Amino acid sequence: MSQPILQVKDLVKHFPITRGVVFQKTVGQVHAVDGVSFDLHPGETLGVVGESGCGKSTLAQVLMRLEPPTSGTVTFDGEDLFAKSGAALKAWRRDMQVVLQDPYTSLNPRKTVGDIVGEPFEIHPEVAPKGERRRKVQELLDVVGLNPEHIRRYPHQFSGGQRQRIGIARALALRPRVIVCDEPVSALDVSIQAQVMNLLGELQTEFGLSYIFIAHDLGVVRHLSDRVAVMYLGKIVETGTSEEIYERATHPYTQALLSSVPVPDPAARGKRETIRLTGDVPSPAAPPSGCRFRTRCPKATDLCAEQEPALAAGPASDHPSACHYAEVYRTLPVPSR
Amino acid sequence: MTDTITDPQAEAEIGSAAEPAAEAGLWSDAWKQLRRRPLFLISGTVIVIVLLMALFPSLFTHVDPVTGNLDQSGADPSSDAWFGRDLYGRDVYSRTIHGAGPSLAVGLLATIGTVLVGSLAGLVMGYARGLTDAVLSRIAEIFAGLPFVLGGIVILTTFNKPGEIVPAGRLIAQVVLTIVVLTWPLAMRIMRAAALTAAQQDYVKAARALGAGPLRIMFRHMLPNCLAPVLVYGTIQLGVNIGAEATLSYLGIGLKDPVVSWGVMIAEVQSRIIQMPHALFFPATFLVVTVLAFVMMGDALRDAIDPRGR
Amino acid sequence: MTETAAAPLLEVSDLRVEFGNPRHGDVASVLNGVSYQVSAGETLAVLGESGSGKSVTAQTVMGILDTPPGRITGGSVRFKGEELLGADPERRRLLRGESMAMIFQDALSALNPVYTVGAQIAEQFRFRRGMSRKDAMVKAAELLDLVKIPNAAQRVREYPHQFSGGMRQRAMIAMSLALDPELLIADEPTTALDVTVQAQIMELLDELCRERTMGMILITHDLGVVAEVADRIAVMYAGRIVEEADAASLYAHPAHPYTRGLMASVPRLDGGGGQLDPIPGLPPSLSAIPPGCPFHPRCAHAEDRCRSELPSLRALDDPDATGDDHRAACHFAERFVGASPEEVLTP
Repeated sequence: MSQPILQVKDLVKHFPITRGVVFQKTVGQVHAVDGVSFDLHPGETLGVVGESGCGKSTLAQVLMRLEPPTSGTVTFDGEDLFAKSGAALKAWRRDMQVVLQDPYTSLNPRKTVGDIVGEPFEIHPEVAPKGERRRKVQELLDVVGLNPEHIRRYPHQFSGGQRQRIGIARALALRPRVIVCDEPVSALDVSIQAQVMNLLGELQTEFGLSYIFIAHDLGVVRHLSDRVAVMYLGKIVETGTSEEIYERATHPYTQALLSSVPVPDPAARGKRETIRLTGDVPSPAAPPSGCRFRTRCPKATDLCAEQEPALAAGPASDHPSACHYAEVYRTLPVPSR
Repeated sequence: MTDTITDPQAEAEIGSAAEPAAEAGLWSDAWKQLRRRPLFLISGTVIVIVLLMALFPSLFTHVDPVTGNLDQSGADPSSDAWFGRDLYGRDVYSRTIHGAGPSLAVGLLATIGTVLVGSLAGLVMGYARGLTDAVLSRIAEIFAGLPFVLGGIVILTTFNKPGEIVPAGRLIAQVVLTIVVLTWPLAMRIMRAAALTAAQQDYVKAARALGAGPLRIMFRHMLPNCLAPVLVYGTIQLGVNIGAEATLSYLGIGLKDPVVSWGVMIAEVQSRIIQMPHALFFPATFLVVTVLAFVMMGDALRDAIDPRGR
Repeated sequence: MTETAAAPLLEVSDLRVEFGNPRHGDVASVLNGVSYQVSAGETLAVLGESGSGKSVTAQTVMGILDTPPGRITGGSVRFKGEELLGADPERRRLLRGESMAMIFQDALSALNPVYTVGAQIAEQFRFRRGMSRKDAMVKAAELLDLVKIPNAAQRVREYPHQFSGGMRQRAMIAMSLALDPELLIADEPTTALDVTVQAQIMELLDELCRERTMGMILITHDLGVVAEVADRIAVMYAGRIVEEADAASLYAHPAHPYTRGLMASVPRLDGGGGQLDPIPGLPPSLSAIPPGCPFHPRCAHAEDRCRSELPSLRALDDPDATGDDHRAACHFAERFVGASPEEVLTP
């Protein structure tokens, strides 16, 4: 395999919980991301899936250098990302871009589409000379399937799906090599969601992009990802190729997640063997000892409370799975239709 | 692309086809819309007339506003003096025209100062948060804690000895600064609240991811989205400031004879409203109409810079 | 599926609602003749994308539609034979909570943050059943227990922000069940929740409906959720029901091109299907619904007739459907009803 474009090692992000207005004191830490490692190769899509509070969005923010990390390293093309500053940091921004979740708040309501998509060129004037910007913006709008004539319209004149396309055009403007997609389709209607997913797929082929695709919808992640990492309370609990995760999941959390997804087939009702988790995700401010999933895990034993399982392949798991009792459990009784 | 969404439906929804291709942005679009608003045209006309009065009072009257004939004290409106005469027999019409200048100068300058200082502080606080915010907040609380009248007395009597004759320009500047110093925390709080919200928005995040610097984020992205509440506040504050000028005049520490302002005129007639209502009515009417025009102007402006309302 | 011969619990017919001011000429036709029925113990799923009118229908039934901007321009809503539109507001208020209850998507904003969860549930017992504060709190704890909130007796004293998302939705359900309603309207009850919690909540709702033979209208956009719990499904598009059938036949033989398009848009968990086949274009603006079939600009099968003539919702000959249950509003529904959802039909 080629050299990874992005290497993340032991990335940690804790948010302090503070009290007081004038004299703030730290009373605790939210363990949003707690030791995450992965590689991203050129042209590949890594899906990051997990429920709310698992730290997947914080991960995106730290990778984009919107939040400073607590510890850990990220290298981009072999260079330390967190060591970059000034001009080097600005230059790197051209290589890595982000598409955000909410198409209604991610576009400045008081700017025209032309301003929004053209802003990357204003910040990085070396990319396109002034006279060419308008044409470039129109090209970008065309690439994402919008009418280039609409350059003077405001975001509110577009539907949710179209606005997400505008966000994608902005991310694409500087011809990045990696795009972090933070729940890019979860605010969209089903039929529009499919249009945007197809667009992301086409752009990847056309421009040779690598994606980090963050989502909570397991179907969406499977559809777009080559490899998948499942996160729970700030840690990756299982990672592997799409097939390994969706067909041969070995971590009980992944299995429960998969079995919780409702299957659009009434005939399968009652025939599926399901794992129903009880309770909710514990607070990331006070994660459980040992394995973080043990409080909801049907397999948990005393060992799980004492010893944190390592994310590694085991005798019963052909891909890394952070469970003492990792083993395959068929969770996809979806009848082939 | 196979799924280009330019079907007739989407076109119909968005409305008329794109206008001619002149490069445009928020402000030129706002201007285009303003020109068609009756509210803006009416208030604009009033403001232009009042500004003319302030800048060129000789266009409206040649009567001396300062010297009066005590024989004619409190005379009713007549063909001789359209608005009647005041306690000292001075022509109220001429005084009202000449009063526009100092009143507007104080009101406008104080408002602009308050909004500028307050918004700038609020914007920086909303963007930076943390220590900057905490320190500036505490400083603002000190100023907000000073009662306006007490603060005004302390500041103005420190600079001017009682009974000292101060040139009009210097006095106006002192009154304006006094008002700004004592009222900026209000504008700051409004701006800070809006800026805190705006700073959390995803479009700010997106701009940061593109490598935009703090100035660009504050002035290009946050400011236009925070302006509406401050503008509304500003138009209201304009009226309050003209009133504040009157208050200070009444206490004898603000503008005073021989400077004429609507506030000075209203303050002078306060104890004789029954005997000579016209001396109160005319300056007060001008004051109300002017304030109203600015409030309407602010309203029209706020709508115009919100593209969603178009 | 529960068959009831008597008058249905709820009968909505030809409901029409507009938004906006006709004098300004910006009228959006949000509902254009919606009819459906719900029997006791039956779960009807109303499936649609945003702007299809699914929530407005529910709000009209509950009598909580904001008027203005909304305006009911026609149709009827009958609850156990009693006409509700135009009924005395006091009567409608009595029916709410007592006979029909509603739960919302955003449980955090639907609960008042300054009162304890228990107090909010107990309020109904105190003011509508005249119970003492103490008895009402006991009942509130029982209800929290019913919706499987652990340590219910302690948790009644907690505030909404101390509850997690799933717990809040459970508390909302408990609150809606307090006065034993016969009809529960659930408006996207699990959309804001995580998938593992969503599964718990849907199971709870399903169980409660069956135990109490309570009718339920489940409003959702999620084809998966619908398939798991619905007895019957009504698919809405641009303020109309475009297809209605029992759950099994709808998924086996979707007869409307829109329904088929929706199914082809959902990425599958088993990775089958390859490239998604989305519906092109956008839903129409409700102030300019195209003439003829409202779906025709996005439909690959549209013919001249579709552009001029509005198809009515008519019964289809679907051998698998129970009774004459399968209905679709498409001129060419017969072409599709025999085909499985995966079959790619060439126009």
